[in-house]
Amino acid sequence: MLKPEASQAAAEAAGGLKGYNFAYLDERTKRIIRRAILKAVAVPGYQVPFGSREMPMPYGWGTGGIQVSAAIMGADDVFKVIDQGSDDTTNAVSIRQFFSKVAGVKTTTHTGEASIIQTRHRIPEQPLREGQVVVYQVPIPEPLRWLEPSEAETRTLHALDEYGIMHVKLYEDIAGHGEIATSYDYPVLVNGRYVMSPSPLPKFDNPKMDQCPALQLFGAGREKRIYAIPPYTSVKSLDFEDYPFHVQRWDKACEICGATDSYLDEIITDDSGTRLYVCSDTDYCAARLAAKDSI
Amino acid sequence: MREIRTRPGLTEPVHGSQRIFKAVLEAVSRPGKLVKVFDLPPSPYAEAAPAGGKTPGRGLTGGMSRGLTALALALCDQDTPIWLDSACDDAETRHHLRFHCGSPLVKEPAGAVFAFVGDATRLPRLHEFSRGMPEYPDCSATLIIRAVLGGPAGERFEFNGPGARDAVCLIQGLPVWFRKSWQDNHAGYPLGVDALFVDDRGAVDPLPHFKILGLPRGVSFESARRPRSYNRENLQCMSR
Amino acid sequence: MYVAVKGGEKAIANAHGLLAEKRRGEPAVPELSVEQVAGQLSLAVDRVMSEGSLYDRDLAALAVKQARGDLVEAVFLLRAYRATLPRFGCSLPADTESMLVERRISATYKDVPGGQVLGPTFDYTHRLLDGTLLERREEPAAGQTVGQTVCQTAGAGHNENEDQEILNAFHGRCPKVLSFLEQEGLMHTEAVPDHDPEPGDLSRQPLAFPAGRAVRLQNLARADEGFLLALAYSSQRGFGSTHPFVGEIRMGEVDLDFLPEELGFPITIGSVFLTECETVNKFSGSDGQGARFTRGYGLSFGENERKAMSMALVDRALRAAELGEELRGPAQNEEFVLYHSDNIEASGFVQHLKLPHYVDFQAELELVRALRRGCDGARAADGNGESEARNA
Repeated sequence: MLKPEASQAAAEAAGGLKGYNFAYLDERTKRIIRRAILKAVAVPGYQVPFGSREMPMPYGWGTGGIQVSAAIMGADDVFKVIDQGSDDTTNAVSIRQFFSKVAGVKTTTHTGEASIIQTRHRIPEQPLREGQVVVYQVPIPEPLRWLEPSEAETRTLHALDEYGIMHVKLYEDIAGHGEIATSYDYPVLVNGRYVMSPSPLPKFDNPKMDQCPALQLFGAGREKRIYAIPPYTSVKSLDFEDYPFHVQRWDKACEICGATDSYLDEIITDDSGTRLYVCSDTDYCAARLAAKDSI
Repeated sequence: MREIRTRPGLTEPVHGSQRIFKAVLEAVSRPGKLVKVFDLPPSPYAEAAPAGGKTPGRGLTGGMSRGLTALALALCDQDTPIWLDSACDDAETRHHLRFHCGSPLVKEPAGAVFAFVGDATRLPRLHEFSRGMPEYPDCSATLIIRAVLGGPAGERFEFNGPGARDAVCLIQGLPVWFRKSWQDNHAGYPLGVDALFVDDRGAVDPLPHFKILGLPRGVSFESARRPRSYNRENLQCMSR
Repeated sequence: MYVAVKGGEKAIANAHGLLAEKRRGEPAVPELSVEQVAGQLSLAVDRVMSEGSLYDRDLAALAVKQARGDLVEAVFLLRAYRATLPRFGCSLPADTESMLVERRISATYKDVPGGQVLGPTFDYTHRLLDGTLLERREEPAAGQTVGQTVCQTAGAGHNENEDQEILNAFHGRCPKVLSFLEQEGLMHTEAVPDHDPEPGDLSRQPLAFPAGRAVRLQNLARADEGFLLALAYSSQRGFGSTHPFVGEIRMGEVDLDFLPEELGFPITIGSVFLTECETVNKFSGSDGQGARFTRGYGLSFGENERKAMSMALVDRALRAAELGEELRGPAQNEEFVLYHSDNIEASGFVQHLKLPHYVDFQAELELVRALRRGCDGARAADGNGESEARNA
């Protein structure tokens, strides 16, 4: 069995934090998480229970994503963290600093350069490629939780492939509002079998998950669940033939880079409520701006 | 009883485990793709040839090979009961796994979380291993099988399923019933065993390595499953 | 371009600096030492050890100091540290009958073998603020330690030396009050499950339902004291009544033994201070085995009587299903109790709402605007229809 000192020595050799294991977690915990990830990939969309640990950040701050990242990370990885699409939000900064401290890995803000992208609430606009891993921070992994609070019940519903309550809910939306009134955390069907929560992504990002060349891993620390979508896997947003799934569109362009195809944040700029729209994905926005400047 | 000398594990336990795991993850995510690994620990046998050696030792000709050992060291611990096939089940391997992994060894395939199969021709039928439960399909066995992968000879398998894209692989050394038995395993999805094939012919190369091929339960050797789609007509029967 | 939550790196560094200043407080006042916290705020330290599920007074005191007295934050610090520790093995079950009791009372019998020992309790204090504590006083001279008094009807009028003799007589073995009911065959016997499996460990395996009593008790032992107190209280007020009597509360030092495989015999590795509570609950015997008493069990690190009692009440309430009782309150709902008892999980998830959510909010904003447009459009169309009808 591995002695803790070996791991700590490895952490220091890799430029990590003295006194802590490489990537913070001890090797035994990493193995638990790694095995859960492998089963999650083998059964796409199914939530694998795992022995989640207390991390040095609070639950709700991305502990599931952090544990998944720590379990898969190697010394050669290049790590990017986004929160709300941005590399510069406080929690993204904090998680990035954590890994550069405990694992000594290279970090980046460029989507294309990263081998692991940990994210909360967004998928980058730049298409992902083979070999990349996206790690999602998940608050509530159970897509049926709002309809059925009991874990024992929802687990049975998944086992029986019985998703009637979800379709009834979506149908009632249509009856009441004329459309499906879910704008984020919009449920998807993975590989034709499991209904899955895409974490609270705006539904704008749902189509990016379908047949994605990158591996997608989802970690819920407080709820102690891991799930996955392997590359090139069918991910279908639930809908009805006469009410097909559609995504948000803006009739505005990004104020900074002029993009019309990206997800836009609305910013109130003065007391009279003047609004400004800018790309939520700051790396995408900056890259477009740089390309314009270089022409 | 002869004394067994403890053999070393991975040269770099932390980073080696990570690299081996990452390769397994890649193999399981992209079924049909051969993934190379360069972290090759010694086999459990004292007489095994060192890396690059010319005399094939026990771990090269049979038994718990260096590739199988690598996966055991990277993935197994006290929480994972291991089943060894007759080719791997010897005093050296038992000692090696107990010492490095602390894993309990089980006599029956049904109790295993990981099964190591050194001789694929004598693979037990797949239904003898744990397939998981409807509520917990993750509680199923992972079979780690030594085979010759990617030719030149072998049976041709077409991989269809999540992560598999135009994937075809030659696998040599499997029993004749394997294809049919695997299709039965796949038909029970989401229950079923997952398999990893290991080819460590490369252990004697100047740059010693081994290859992994992933075969998760979602993969079919026949053409792809069509993802089911819902419409409002079948809503009624679903909501019952 | 101004974006509120961006440019975080410097803001975080400054926040940490301010926090350190706040923690230190007025610089002219001497700094608290960890020894002072451990010695003089010992009940805070006990609570942090219990809910942090790590028995280490110094580290718990450090956590209390570092957390500026926020006990849930201190529990979190201790838990996060605990998660990095290697696990060498499990001790043998602690034998609380061999406890060196510092306090031991029963509410079900006037007198019990071993006597009732009041110990250091707030129970009979008058809650009057003590102005003398405002002043820094001289350290007490050596040898002023207060002795214990045993209340035992048989020995009324005995002196302190006799008290000590009674205590000494039972030191090493102080019988459990509930054992007298067991001898009489009036206690529900706890069936050992087949093959007597190792208890689960929540710090390594996630909860699954039904959880089983061993896992439930571990969950309750780590649970937030306030949450358990409220649940226990609710069960007393009719939301799943269990009619408890306190059979016994005892607190004191208990030895912990460990059995190393290579030695083959147990060795004592240390002692822990524990508070244990056993309640006696009437049970009508709806399972056909006749009326008898059932047990609720509570155990906590340190002096933690409120926690141990609340735990015992909630433990008993959670046994409703296995005993075939009607489920009438949240305290009897296993999923509800076990999933929401952990204050580290709860505090994190409640407080994560202050992290930015503007991407999802933007999605909701667009949706609500679209729904409103649809609704207003329909209303306008209805309005036109009406006026046309009137004109016709």
